[in-house]
Amino acid sequence: MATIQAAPAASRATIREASRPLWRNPSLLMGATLLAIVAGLAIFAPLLTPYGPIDQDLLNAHKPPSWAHPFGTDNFGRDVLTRVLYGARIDLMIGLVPTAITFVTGVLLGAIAGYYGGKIDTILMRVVDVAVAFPFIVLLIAIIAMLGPGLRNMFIAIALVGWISYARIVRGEVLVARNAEYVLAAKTLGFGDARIIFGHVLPNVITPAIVFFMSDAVLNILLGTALSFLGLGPQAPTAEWGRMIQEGRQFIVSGEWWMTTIPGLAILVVGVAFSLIGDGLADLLRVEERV
Amino acid sequence: MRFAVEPSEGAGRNGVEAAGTPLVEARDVVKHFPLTQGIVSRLQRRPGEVLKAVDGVSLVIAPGETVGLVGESGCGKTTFGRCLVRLYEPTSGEIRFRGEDVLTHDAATTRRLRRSIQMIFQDPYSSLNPRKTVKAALGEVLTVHRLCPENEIPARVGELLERVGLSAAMGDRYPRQFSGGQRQRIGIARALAVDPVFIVADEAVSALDVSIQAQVINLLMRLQEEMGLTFLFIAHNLGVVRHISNRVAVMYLGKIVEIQPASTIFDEPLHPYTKALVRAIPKLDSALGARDTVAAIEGDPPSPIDIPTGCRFHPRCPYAMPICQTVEPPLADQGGGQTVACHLYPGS
Amino acid sequence: MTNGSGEIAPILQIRDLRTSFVTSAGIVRAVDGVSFDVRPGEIFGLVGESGCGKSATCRSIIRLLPSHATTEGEVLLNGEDLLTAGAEAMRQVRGGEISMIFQDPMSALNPVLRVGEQVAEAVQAHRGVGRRAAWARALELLRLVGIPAPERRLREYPYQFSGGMRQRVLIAIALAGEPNVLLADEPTTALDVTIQDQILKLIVRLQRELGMSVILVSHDLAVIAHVCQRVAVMYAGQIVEQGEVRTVLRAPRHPYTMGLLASLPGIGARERYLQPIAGAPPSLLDPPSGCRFHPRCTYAVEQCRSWTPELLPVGPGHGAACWRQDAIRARVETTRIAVRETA
Repeated sequence: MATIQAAPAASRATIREASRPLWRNPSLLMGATLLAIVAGLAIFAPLLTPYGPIDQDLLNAHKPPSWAHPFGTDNFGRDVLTRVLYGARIDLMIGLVPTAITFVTGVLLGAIAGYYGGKIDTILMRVVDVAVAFPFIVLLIAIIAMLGPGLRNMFIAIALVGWISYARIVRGEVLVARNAEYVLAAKTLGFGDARIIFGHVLPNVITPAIVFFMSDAVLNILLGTALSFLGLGPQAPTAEWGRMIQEGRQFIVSGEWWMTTIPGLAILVVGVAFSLIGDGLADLLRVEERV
Repeated sequence: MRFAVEPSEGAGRNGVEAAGTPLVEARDVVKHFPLTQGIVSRLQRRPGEVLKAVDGVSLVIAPGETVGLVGESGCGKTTFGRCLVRLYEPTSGEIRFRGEDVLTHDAATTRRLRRSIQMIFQDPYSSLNPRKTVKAALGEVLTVHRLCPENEIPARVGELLERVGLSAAMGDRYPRQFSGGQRQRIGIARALAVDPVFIVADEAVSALDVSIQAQVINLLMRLQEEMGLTFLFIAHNLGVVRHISNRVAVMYLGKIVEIQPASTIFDEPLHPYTKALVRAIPKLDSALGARDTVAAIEGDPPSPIDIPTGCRFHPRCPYAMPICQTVEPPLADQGGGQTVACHLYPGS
Repeated sequence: MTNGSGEIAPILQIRDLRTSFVTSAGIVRAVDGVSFDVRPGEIFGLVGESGCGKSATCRSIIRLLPSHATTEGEVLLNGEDLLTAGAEAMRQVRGGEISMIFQDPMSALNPVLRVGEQVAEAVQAHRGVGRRAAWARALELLRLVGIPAPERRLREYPYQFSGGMRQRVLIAIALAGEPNVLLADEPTTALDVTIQDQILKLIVRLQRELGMSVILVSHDLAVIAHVCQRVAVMYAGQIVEQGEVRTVLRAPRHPYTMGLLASLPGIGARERYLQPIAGAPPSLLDPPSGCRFHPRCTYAVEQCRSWTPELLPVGPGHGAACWRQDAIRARVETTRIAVRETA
């Protein structure tokens, strides 16, 4: 159809779409709102609940939802709502901190490998091949086993492994972009490599990595909860959703569903929020990119 | 006479050599691409092959002249152009600019030469960074090379845009908001921003419609007159090349087979390949008058991975002789600025 | 346009064809009231710059348009309207009565099937013959389109074929149904000049041998001049000039055709500078009022803003959609005198 639409027609269409206001992107709007609410609840947790996250009240243990404890209490009599709210702090951190670290390192390494090619690329890609050959979770468990359990070590473990996906995504895109004429033009104009990579190549190839960031954040939250569930994450009595599920698991059979279901729902909500943001961003950036 | 100034009149006397001090001298430039990891060689299961894109090209360009470089796709003309602007590092050979070695590894010299040698690209849709406004793109060039004080950049950008026939007010737009012809003008403005001396125009008008193509060709010729630029004009369209160039070099499979003044190459092509090329071009005047009945060349160009021995054109050449299969003819001066690499002519 | 009585009836008649595309930015009227006839056994050229609607016209004829397109008007093949034909009837027409070849020979063949299979499949689709007979016919077709060693090449895959050879294969496929009309949409644009020359010669030869009609779409006036008998020049979705190729290109009577010819290097260009047409083609979302060429036209007067004629007869079988014929004729005369004086 390219031959049919005259250039002015095509450009007019893109201008109109690109300047489309944010509120016309329902996925992004809903996702961002949801995430903002969760973050708000996490930040203002102390104002929203009279209990502390690790305050035990053994007299009130194993209580189903009630007015005093809307989501019931756990086996130590801790308020499940309170723990879910405080847990959001840690889980959002799990979603964002290691993902951000892996995003930056992965994008950087991928860009360098893709742009320079040659030996750097070969070495990096061999490392990636080796890392990919191991099952992801087994690798993580092995690293944490060496470093010892805990939130910080979990972050380190994820950071050591998680950059690979970003590096692969970005490298592939850069391999294409480095031969684009605007990059060649930048070279002939005598621009430095750093300027070309950060100013010209990356802005044009970063979109898929940003979109992946959002789904990766969800994956990392799930991974974090899974590791906590295995006892490799933050240690008791820290309020963390995965840990809460693990602790409540033994009481499911006795019908005390709230100890596991509520943190599970919290994971779901955050997961949906990130996914929506990812979808919305993909949509937004794709429209803007249409040349 | 096509040109007010005719530098090639004296310059192109003996083809390869230009009289006086040449601006650009390429000697035996070779660019081979190893195909060990390429998809092509994997498909063909032939590891360790080499694509001989440019296989020994020598060309001398005088200041102020426009040399056209023509040939069919895959003949290496783009690769050679990219070697000149140092987008590619030649495998071997020598490139001199005003007598200075371009292939030096001294960073300061490279930087200085980069400014003097610019390139205009083929695709007006991909040669501009889609995420930068025109003003930002041109401004960046000025900033990087500290070509003018920060506060004078907007004025200078406006001046550059006007020089290529756009208005200064267009600077705030993104490339996607321009038509193909306008984008090509922006690409030209960007190349001009660094005050270059020599410009390699790689199929710079090929993607444009004829009415727009003529506008851009006129712009390039006007800029050359005003700024005293020297051009290497790479294109597959012989008509355009003949119009804009002083001399035309014809490339086939990585080698230059003929160099001639633009005024004669259409009427007196020497090399059998040039003859075939000239004949194959549909021409309005001949189509409307008498039909050209000479047979076209048969078959497709061989792969630059597997170049024929001797003269690389011999498998398709209607005049091929036994010697053509074994001995590669060198470029030989035929007088009148005509140089040809063919055993049919003396000296080769 | 003036088809005198007693001439052979046209095989294909396009009547007031209008094709528009609904896009997010509005309605793009790619083809806006195009009419022309194709006679049996002629090569008819459609020429114009990108976005002028020549490809859309071609695709409208064979109804190969995306779903967001709407087509009005009439496309009469031997008197029968294709635009109202049912899906099954249309399937029979495509590849049977009318075939099409495209610009990009690299992507039009299925890479995982042998070339012979793809040609034989086309044969079977339009002639109820067995597999063996279809292969035999495929061999004949490859020979017909000038592919060397066709027995061997039938068993090869598309990647083993060069661009020119692939275009030959596509022509063979298009000929499988023994069409009466071949639509060739920029068939040589992606090819090098020497290969282009081979393919054009092939098309001319096949047209003569098989007696088909060909509609050749091209942006290249010289290609049209070499191959076609009659030509229609399109601008912004409309035909602005139509007639015998020699007349139209030698003595154009529409300012757009004149401008196109003048902007070609090597024709009017004995001068140092070319004479381009100012400005750029309009957006088909919002074309100019009146004559669509008026904003770029040196002959334009106030009246051109508001109305434009249909093709006016300006010579035998020659029509131009411009009512400033007197001014054009006068200008042509003066240049002719000037040229004579300088000579």
